[in-house]
Amino acid sequence: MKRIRNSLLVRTVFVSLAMALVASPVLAYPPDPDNAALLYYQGILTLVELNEEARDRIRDVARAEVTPDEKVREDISKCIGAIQFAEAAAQVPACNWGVQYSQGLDALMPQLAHMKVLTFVLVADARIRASDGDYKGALERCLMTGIFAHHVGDDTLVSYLVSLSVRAMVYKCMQDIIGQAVNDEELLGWLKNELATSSVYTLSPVKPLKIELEIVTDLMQMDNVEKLARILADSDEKKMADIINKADKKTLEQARRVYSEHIKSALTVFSTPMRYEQAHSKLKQLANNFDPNDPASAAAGAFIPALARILTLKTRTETHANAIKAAIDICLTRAKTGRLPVTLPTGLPKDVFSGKNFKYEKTADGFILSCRSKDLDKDEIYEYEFKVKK
Amino acid sequence: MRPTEDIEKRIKNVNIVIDSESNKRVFSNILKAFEKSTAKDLAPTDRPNIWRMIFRNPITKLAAAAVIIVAVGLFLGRDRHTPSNPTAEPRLIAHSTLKKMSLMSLRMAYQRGGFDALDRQFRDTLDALGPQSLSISMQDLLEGANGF
Repeated sequence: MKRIRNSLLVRTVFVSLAMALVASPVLAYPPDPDNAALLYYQGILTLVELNEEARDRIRDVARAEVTPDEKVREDISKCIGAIQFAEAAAQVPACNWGVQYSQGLDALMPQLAHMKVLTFVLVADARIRASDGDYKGALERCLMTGIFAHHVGDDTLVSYLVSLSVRAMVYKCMQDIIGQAVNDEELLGWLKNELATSSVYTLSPVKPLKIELEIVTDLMQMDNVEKLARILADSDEKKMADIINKADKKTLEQARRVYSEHIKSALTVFSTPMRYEQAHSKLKQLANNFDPNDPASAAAGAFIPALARILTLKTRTETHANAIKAAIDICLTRAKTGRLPVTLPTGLPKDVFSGKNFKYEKTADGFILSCRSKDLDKDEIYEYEFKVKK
Repeated sequence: MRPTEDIEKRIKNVNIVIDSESNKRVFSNILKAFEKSTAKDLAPTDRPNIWRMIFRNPITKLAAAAVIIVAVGLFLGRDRHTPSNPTAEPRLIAHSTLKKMSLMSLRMAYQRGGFDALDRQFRDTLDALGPQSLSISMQDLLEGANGF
């Protein structure tokens, strides 16, 4: 009896061990990457066969300069690997491009050029889908590219600017598709909800400015004077030697102080809610407030980015996003009633340049939403035209 | 009788009794002998002359000749696979191109000419980095992995 019990016990132990081994995570295949950048990099690797002509054709379609033809469809079919990697990356929240920040301003970012090509591929694919009547597929592709724009990130000012340019391209594509899908109430409702619940449009220049503050103040030390001189002299050997000879601890300390004060003031402007016009004026003043005859002030000034322009691009992107959201509501009214509203419905997102409602104007082809204040750098008022399908 | 035949005959005739104690003893002796005879401890004059060993025996001579023929064949075969197209040669990225990809350079490009200048810089980077042919055969991919 005892032997039977023991035998049963041994069997149970063996079966349990076997089950544990089968179910053990050690034996399972490794997980997919938890860093979206790794997937984008793989996607970029699959794009190497695109030659310059193909890249140009894809870019022209993405920018809506030409309608998609057979040739570009063939080009995009070769990019399917990259698109699939981007789709997978969009499911991963974290994205670290592996920039070597320890290299300071010498850090290399070759991926940025490839990001631009990937953007053209994704937006061109969205436009091809739209031209085939697949508006849902096209808008899904746009939303996915919006996630890519977010993943491009705001770790550096350049990546922030590239991110803004990706978003601008996405919004232009959406702008062209929305009017075509005007009869599909369900689709417009879905898009409205997607844009309202998405948290991917929250990048700001505050983070890259803080990182630059660290990098540049570290550069303005006597230990890094050669590096600093090379940047300030733009690799002019004579000028460089002159800067190295004249630089001393006191001047660099003063340069660091001036630079930090300016960047901190800019950070306050970017972090405080204020009207575009007022913020622009403050930032413009900050950028011009350097004495070219004072070495410390001139050195600090050389590292201050075009702050006012950055504000304008931020404002422009946010305004475009709001125009898209407002247009969806207008198109929803059209889908429900069969007619475009006579006046702009209340409670719609506003023009960020003026802080006021968009100017709404019906046209023979659809409607136009215009800003009420201009881009102060380019002296231009932006208009967003939505052509509505009859 | 040749020495090898003599050894074989002696081994056949030996009556060997194997027990665990003998096993341990033999193994321990082997280990000690192995530790003593590492190449590091040997004086250069003590080391066997590999070339003399090869050329003394006709079979090893033939084997060595075969190895040399195969190695030469592989070497020539590799050469034949090398594409004659100059564009397929590995490209070196110029220092100036590398500099164009730096954070500072991209930032300055934007500062001077906005997005257009930044796009031009991206274009230059792409011209330097790609496209490269992906038409790599499995043979090319595994070249050099013959030992696995």
